[in-house]
Amino acid sequence: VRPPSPLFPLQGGLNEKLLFLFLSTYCDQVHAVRMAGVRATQKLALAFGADWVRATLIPHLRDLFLAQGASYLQRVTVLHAVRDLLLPGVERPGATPDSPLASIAEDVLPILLGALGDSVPNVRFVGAQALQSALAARVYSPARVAADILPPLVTLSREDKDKDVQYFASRAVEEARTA
Amino acid sequence: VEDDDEVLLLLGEQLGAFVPFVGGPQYAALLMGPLGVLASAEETVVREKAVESACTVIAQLSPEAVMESVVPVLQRLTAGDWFTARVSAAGLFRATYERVGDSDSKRILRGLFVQLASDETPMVRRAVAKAVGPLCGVVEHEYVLSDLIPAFHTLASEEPDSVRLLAVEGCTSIARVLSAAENASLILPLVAACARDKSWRVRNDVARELPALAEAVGDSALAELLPLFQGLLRDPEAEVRASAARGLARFSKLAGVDAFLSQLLPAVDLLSGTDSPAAVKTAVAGAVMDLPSVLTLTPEGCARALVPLIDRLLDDENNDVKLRVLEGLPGVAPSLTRAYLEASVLPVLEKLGADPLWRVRERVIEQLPLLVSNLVSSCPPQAPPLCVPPHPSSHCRAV
Repeated sequence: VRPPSPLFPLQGGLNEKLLFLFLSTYCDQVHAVRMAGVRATQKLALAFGADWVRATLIPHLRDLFLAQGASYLQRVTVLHAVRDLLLPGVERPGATPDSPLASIAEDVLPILLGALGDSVPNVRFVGAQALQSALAARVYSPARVAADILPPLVTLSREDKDKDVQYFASRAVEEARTA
Repeated sequence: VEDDDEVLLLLGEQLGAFVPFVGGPQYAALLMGPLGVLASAEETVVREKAVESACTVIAQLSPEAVMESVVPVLQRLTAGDWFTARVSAAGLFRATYERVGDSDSKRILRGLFVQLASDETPMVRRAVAKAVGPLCGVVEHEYVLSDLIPAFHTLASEEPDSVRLLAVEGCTSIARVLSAAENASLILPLVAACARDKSWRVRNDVARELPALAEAVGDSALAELLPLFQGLLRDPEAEVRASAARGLARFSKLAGVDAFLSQLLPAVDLLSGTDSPAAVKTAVAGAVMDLPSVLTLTPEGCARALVPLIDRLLDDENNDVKLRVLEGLPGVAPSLTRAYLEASVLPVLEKLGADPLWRVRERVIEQLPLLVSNLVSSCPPQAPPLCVPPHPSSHCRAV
């Protein structure tokens, strides 16, 4: 039985209607609104903490990313939000220093790797950019980088049909190698 | 002598920073010559820059140097044939008076100022009206009463309204240097007259200035200012009502809860009504949302006084009004019940979140985390249990 949902269930997260309102900005037609949604994601993650991010936010972001027939802009917006979530400081203040970010990083990795195989070049290079910033923030272990992240990036940097994708993939590869 | 205004403008600007290059403050008086010439130029921006720079230079001069080189320049400008020179002169009095030491020069300066106050050109009198407030801050109290106030009174009651307008702004600075009794006899009647002025622009200025003025004159005058403020909130001109509404929170802070509830609330109620123009209601919305931070309202008082207002404003047809309420909500939320938020705020949030105007949607989504995080910090430890809704993202279709 689900408890009745109050307007702002605070420790729980947004209620259904507000969550819907919030997520619908990801498919807004206007760039500025989508970017406001990305900024709101960061702030809500700070307000509700890592548990909410893992249990509620990331599953929704994954759904938005995989949504059939969605515009590529929706996927790009998800990638922007994911990139920002991996920036330092998103953990809930007072949470244990090691666990939340590492586990969020693992949770969003399928989204980031999925982006590299997207049919739209923009999604591929925004994915590469997001990975580059995650690599710069050192959120993945060296073993994870070597096994799962580096290989697809190297392939893109050499073989992608799109020059921009090649460029941003090679930037991310460089970032991984300096790490 | 250059006839390109752009060059003159830059020259006037640069001369203000020229003191070190002419050999320091003891030689800075040399700069007053060229600045005096620029201050009588025809082009307004050139003159304004020259006056600004001259004030910077004067502030660095010794009292003797001011007496020797600035007072003559002022005399020349005041006696200038063109009104432009006389306008500039008005802007120099405060800086000069502040620096001169001997009573003779001071007497000369006051005389020149009073003379300018009755100048035949309205532009000059406007400049004087603008300068009188700042000047009162540096002139000795007895001379404020004997010289400046009479001049000010003439300005504040004369045509055209553009002179009276600037005089209203001077009231606040003058009120700061006068005693309560002097304010009551000299300034308040003037303010009262301006608050009922036939020109709406003058009344608008009073409406804008009244909270600051009330702070300057202190509690003793509140009883007199309160009816004026009430009157301005009910002014026939919407612009004036909006200006008064913008100052509502600041004024209510001085007036206190009781006076607000009994005397101001009814007027505010009217202003938020359906036939009130959108600009007025937007101003009211902003002010109402600021009230809980300045008034110590009990929860019941809040529910009785503010909630009906917030309700009506959230229900308004104009998006700006609703957005203004939403923007203020994080600050007010602690004094509202959760049931209220759920019943009244949530539907508005949802409706605006789907508004056809993208700027509205953007603002709503920007407000959302603020509302939520404010409640996180003010929330009791026994928060409701986690609730995971069904995935709304399935409703979210691509464009």
